[in-house]
This record gives sequence, structure tokens and C-alpha cells, in this order.
Amino acid sequence: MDGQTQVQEVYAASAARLVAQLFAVTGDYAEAQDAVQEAFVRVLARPGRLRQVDNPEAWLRTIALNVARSRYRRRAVFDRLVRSGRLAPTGQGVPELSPDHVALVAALQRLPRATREAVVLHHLADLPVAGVAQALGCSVEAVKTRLVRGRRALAADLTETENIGGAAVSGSRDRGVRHA
Amino acid sequence: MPELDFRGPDFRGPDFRGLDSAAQAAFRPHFADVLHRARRRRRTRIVAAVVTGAAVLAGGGVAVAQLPARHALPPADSPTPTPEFLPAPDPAASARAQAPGRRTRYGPTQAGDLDRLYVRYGDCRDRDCAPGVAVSADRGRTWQKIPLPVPVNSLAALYPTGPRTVAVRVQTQLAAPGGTITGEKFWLTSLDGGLTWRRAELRQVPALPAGARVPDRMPGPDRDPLITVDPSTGDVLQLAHRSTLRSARFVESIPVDAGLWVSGSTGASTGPDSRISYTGSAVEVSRDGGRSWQRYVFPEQIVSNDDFGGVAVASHNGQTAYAVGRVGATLRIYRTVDGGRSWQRTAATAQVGERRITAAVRSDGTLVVQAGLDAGENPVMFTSTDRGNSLQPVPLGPGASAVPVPGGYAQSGWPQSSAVWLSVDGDDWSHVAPPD
Repeated sequence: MDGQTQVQEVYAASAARLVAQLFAVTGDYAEAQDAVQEAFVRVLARPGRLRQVDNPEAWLRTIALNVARSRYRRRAVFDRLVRSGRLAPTGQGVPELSPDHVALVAALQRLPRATREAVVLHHLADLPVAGVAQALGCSVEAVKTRLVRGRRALAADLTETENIGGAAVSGSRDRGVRHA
Repeated sequence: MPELDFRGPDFRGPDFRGLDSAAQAAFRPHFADVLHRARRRRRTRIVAAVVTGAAVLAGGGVAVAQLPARHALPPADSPTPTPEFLPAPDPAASARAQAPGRRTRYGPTQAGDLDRLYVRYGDCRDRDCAPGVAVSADRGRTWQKIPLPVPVNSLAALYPTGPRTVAVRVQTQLAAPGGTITGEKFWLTSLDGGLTWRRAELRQVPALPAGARVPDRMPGPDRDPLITVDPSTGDVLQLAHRSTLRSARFVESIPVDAGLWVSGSTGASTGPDSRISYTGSAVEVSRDGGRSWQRYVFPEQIVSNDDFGGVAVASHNGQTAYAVGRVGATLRIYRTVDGGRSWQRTAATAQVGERRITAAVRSDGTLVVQAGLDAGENPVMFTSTDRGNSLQPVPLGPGASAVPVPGGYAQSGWPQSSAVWLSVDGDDWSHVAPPD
């Protein structure tokens, strides 16, 4: 089986999961799709490298996260949009989310980036704490700290969200600050 | 701090699982977009490399001989450019317009022999592609398209194992609840040159038949044991055991009557970033169809490719063979004259940077070495006519990735191109493009 076919197999098996995880990290479905596609494009340049990694999906997730991080740093205008309290602008292919899920994505965006990534990798990607530490290049203790803080922040944020009207909160908060 | 797990039944937190399912369900896989973007990126890199090269030439800092005019790049708008650094006799052949919304995508053209050629294709309309195999019995002058009896959007990898014997590895793609993709894997084989296909039985055997043509597949034989097709039954025969080498690659450039050769490494270690480092470059040879293997471990870590496999191995007779790779940035050649039982390092060397290495031996015994496989690596090519003791730079052209087929040699242009190069002697090559 040639390298491209192997990459295509990984794409078929993993792309949807990766997009869901990147969506939770970025809050922008189009951005998530683009970051994941970019990760696969980079792998296609050297498809043989897939055979060097034990877990191709984990490796692609790392690439996609790096793509999303570096793009975010270049998007100051995006910051301004989110500081206004709105979710990141979304393009075509936006998933049909329930109000609870919209609120969750919005709350995730208000977490510090490192905390947000730890929460997403643990809860959406189903990585154990040690796996999150490996993926993010930090200690297990640091991951545990981020998860505790993330849980508290989400609990407080989502409780408040429920109290003031569900998903509408994602467009009505003044204090919502997106962390890079 | 105790181990945290918010996913337990006691945690009534946010509905991550539901968010995950909803986001996955919205995803519409379209690998063609990834391919298109990769091709566009590749062309951009090539143009940048050409511009950079021109600047170097203009400044007088010439390190590598300028390519002859016949090695001109194909047009940038070619959807399937021929290998960028190789002659392109008919670059327009693959650039003909197709009806909007409908197109045919081709895989690599592969040779059953010098006349019988096979290429998998997808007859695509919007986002659905119906797989098939295009066959030619006259060296690419005429083609016949044969749809494969598989579901739309199935993945197909094609492996000729004889002039008229072909196998296709199929993986179907079926959407499952939650937006995930599942699939079934099976083999199809044809014994009549690709005209008819049947679902093949996969039989594990302790040894492959003598003289069987074995395709080089990915993943390599350390993960997926070697296979061939029984030309009398159409069954796929698979070795019962995997290669014990790590990151192994079947050596397809060895004649079929010279045994089975596998290149790889004896050890591996996993780094903190999940990357694997391989150690102990080695070649294994089996002369009994894979029942037993004789291993030779080279005295230094010599690799041909940072991605997979160990050294590049080439031979035209199975007795005198060459193992070519690099140690750091320095090209190394080892030679065996006893069919791989013992190897000696030759005096030839060159500085090749981190380029990937391929090697082949022409019918007259000339060793051909190429360092750099695509234009972005700024490839260079050498030949040796004194059994690997010295190297002479030569203009780029086909030949270093040649594999023997009945009647001569074939070199695939994949993944840069769907075309194939054919030669009787490994020196004089003709270019064959897929249909359309």
C-alpha cells in the first residue's frame, strides 16, 4: 500500500475526531477543519513518516494544534472579535449544536489556552492525564492543575450561563476574554 | 494530588461526549481537498526552488550542474505533473480538460511486464468516486477501463504480480453513526490482465512459491507480511510471519529468482515526542520463500530515507548487490558478491546532505544512485561502472528507482505523477502516461 493510501486510511479513521477536538480548542469549525487539513497536507509531503510514529492520530493532533496555535498568534483581529464577547466567526459547515454545546464551546474559549487544550485532550480526545502531559509537553502535575482549574472555571461559567439564559450568553458577555 | 478523571459516572459536568458527537457528525470527509492542497503546495515549493536555483546560478555559486534543457519542469497547471526533475515527453497528456463536476483521478501506473500496464482510477462525480482499473496490453497506446466490483469511495491499492496477474487491496468506507468511518478490507485478484475480478481468499503460507513476484507495500513486512498471488487459483498467499526487522521495506529491485530481500533496522527506541529512532541498519535475505532468513547488520547506521526502511539495496543478478545510503550527510556504498552473506564498504563517497537515496543496477551492471527524490530536495544522480568503487555525476533521469519486470525495467513516477517509465536495459527509457 503506497504512502498516500496509508495517509488516506488515517484520514478516514481520524479526521472527524481531530476536527471535533480542534473545534473545541479553537471555537471555529472552519478553522478546525483547516488546521486538520493542513496537518494531513504536511504529512502527505513525507507520508513515510507515518510509519515512524506509534500513534498517527496523536501525531496529527500535535501538528494540527501547532497549526492552530501559530495561526492564532497571527490573528489579532480575531482577538478583538472575541473580546467583544462573541464566539469566533464561523463559516460553512458549522455543526448544528444544541444550546448547551454552544455554551460549552464558548466557555472553553474563555479558558487559558493551555488549560483549554488540557481539558479538550482529556475529555474529548479521551487521553489519560499522562497522555495529555506527553501531548502538551508538560508534567503530569501541571496537567492535573490545569484540569482542576479548567473544571472549576467551566462549572462556574456554565452554571452562570444556565442562570442567565443558555446559549444566548455566548454573545452577551462583557468579561469574556479569549486566551491565546 | 490524586489522579483526576472527570469522565467518571459521578461527574455531572459539561456534555463533552455530546459535543464531540455533534462536531464529528458535521464533518464531511473529503480527502481530495487534502490532495489538491498538497499538490498546490508542492508546485509552490518547486517554483521557489527553481527561483532560488536561478539566483544561485546568476551569482556564480554553482554547486550542482545546471540541468539540461530536456529536464524542464512541466506546466504549473498540470494536475498530475510528471516527476519534476525528469524528462516529460508529453506533459500535456495528463492536462486535458474534463467535464466540470466530473473527473478521473489516477493512481500510479504499474507494469505487469513491459507491455501490460495497470493503473487504478476513481471515476469521480462531485464527492463520490467509483474505483476501477485501467489496463493496457500495448504499452499504453490504448487503455480499457474496468470498474471494480466494490462500493463507491472504496480505497484500492493495486499490485501486479505477473504480466496478467494483478491483486487489489480494497478498503471500503462506510459512514457509521456518529460520523465516523468504518470499512471492510479484502482482496480482489484478476488472472486475465485485469478484465475480470473476483474476491480472493487470503491464505497464510510458511513460504512463498519460488520465483514469485512480491510487491513492495506499505506498511512494510514487519507489520504486514509479504504477499503474492497464486497464478493458478487467484488466491493471495501471505507469509505466515512478519519480518523481524524494524521499519522494514521489501527490496523490489532484486530479480525474482534471487530470493526475497528486506532492508530495515534491528532496533528502535521511542522518544518523548512519540517519534521512533531506528538503530542497526540491516539486510535480510531468504532463499526459501521466506521460511528462513539470513541477516547482515552493517557496522554503521546507514540509511537511505529518514522515513522508513534501512539502506537502498540494488542488484541485477542477486549475487553482486549494493547497499547504498548515507551516514550523516556522507554517501556510503557497501557491496556484496555472495548474495548478501557478506558486505564490504567501497571507496566511493559523496556529500549528499539529508537527501533521500535510491539505487538500481542496469542490465550491464552499472550502479545508478540518486540522492534526492523530488525537486524540493535538489536531486543529484551518479553512476558507477567499477562496481561501486567510484561515482560519476550524471544528468538526472529515470533509472535509480527501477524495478525489474518481465522484459526489462519499470520506474514509477508516483507520487509526483501517475506516469511510468519503461526500459529494456535500465538505461534508455520511454515515458507512458495514464489514459486521458
